[in-house]
Amino acid sequence: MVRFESVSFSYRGGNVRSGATYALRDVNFELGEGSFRWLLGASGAGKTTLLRLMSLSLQPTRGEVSVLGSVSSSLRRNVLARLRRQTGMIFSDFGLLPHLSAFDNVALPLRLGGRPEGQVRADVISMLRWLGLTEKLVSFPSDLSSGECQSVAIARAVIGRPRLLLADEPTVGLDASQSKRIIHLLIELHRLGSTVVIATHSQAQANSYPGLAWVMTRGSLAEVGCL
Amino acid sequence: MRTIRLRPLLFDELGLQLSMTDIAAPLLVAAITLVAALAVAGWIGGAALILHWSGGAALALTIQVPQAAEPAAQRSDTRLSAIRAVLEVTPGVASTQTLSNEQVSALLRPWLGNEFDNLNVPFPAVIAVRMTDNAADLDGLATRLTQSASGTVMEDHAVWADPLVDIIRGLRLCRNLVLVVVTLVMTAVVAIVTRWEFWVRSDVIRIISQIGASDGYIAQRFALRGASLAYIGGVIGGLLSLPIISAQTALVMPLIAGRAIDFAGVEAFSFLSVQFLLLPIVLPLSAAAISYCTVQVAMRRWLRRMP
Repeated sequence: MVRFESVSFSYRGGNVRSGATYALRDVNFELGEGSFRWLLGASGAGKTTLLRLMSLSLQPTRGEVSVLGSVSSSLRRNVLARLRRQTGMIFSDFGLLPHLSAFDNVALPLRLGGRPEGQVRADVISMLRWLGLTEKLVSFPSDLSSGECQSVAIARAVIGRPRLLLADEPTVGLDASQSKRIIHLLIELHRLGSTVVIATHSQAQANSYPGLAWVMTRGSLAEVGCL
Repeated sequence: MRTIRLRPLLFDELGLQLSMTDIAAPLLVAAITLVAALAVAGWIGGAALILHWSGGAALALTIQVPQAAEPAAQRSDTRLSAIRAVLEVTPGVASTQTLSNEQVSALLRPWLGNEFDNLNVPFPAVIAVRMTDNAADLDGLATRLTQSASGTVMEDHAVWADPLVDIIRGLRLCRNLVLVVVTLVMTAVVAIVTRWEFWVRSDVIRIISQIGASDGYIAQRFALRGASLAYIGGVIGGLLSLPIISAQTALVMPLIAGRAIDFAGVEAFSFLSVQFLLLPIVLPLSAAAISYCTVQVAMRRWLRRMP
């Protein structure tokens, strides 16, 4: 599903020998289909960079990243788009389109995937109802609270039942009840067969669902086994 | 499984309908289209006028008969009468008109100025001749005229036709250059506007791309938007040019009426009138096509640079 081989990444590109410049250092792992991982680490440890490399938003400075059977360095653009449609990414900054309503934001991956509009409507309304956002269908992100924006972003990431779901601090800004609900949703998705990686800085949150965990420290990744 | 694309018609995920360029782009294209329309209209009007003029000139002769009132060598009447007699029996002569002294004076006065009235020199008689076609044997006619009245000079206006054709070709070259420049300017303007749109919408494009929109999809959405704005601009430019084109048509039509053949390799007259009608239709479509292609190429190029 996802394989990292000696992957290093520097936002400055080029020479990563000067240790101060790279955000990820010699990362190796293989993540099988249907896996689940917590990605733990303090702010600035490299969690977001790792997820962005996994979502093919970044190219490694060194090493090789394979996602869904394709090597990122040799991907053609149309293949990249297809792979991204099979990957759900929950951004820590929500990544909602400000000019689209909550409904249209969530519907976007389905419409890009060519689903019939009737099915899009049914799925999106059902998802937003489940998240308690029935009243906010036509609201724009600027009219939503931080927690509601996060919920809409999560709905958009999972609506297409992606094969790979990457969540970057998905419960930031949510209250305890909402957080629990969201984590439950992601775990359900994993049970349905998706590969799920959830980045969080909260050990307590990771303890809420037992599973394998990675810990990132200054760009290095270590597997700590089952929590 | 086969999927059916039912993207809602007004679904604007890229926020293109919120663009400031919705107003600016059509106005820019309208101005450019207007320049193109005026260039073509100007060429058509000028070419029609010159073709009309040269068509007339090719059939005209001017004959000067010095000492017109003196007796002719081989006849009992005057040299002028002898010349007129030759013209009457010459095949291909449609009409002749001997200019009066007042008409000759009126022709010469602008060239000789105030001294004209003080000149006491005999002026030659002038006969304006119109031929039925320009295939007549003019060399033979010149010989016969000289034999009838020595010193008679025949000026064939057809010698002006070739320079006029050159002028038409020059006008056509100018028109083509203007159209090339207009196309380049339009391409540059569309590319700059597209770059601006790309820059303004880079966050949206990045998110859409991350969600799985292909470069082709994004480029197509921009290109269709660009083409529709350019078409609107082209229509505005075409409409603005219509009064000028209509006035030009009214002036040109009488000149080209009934003439539908090609003249010295220049386009047929009938085609000229068709061009007038096509200008408001062809230019907007051309603007839309240029815009579509430019946006497609530019967007795909910039999208390839995105991660």
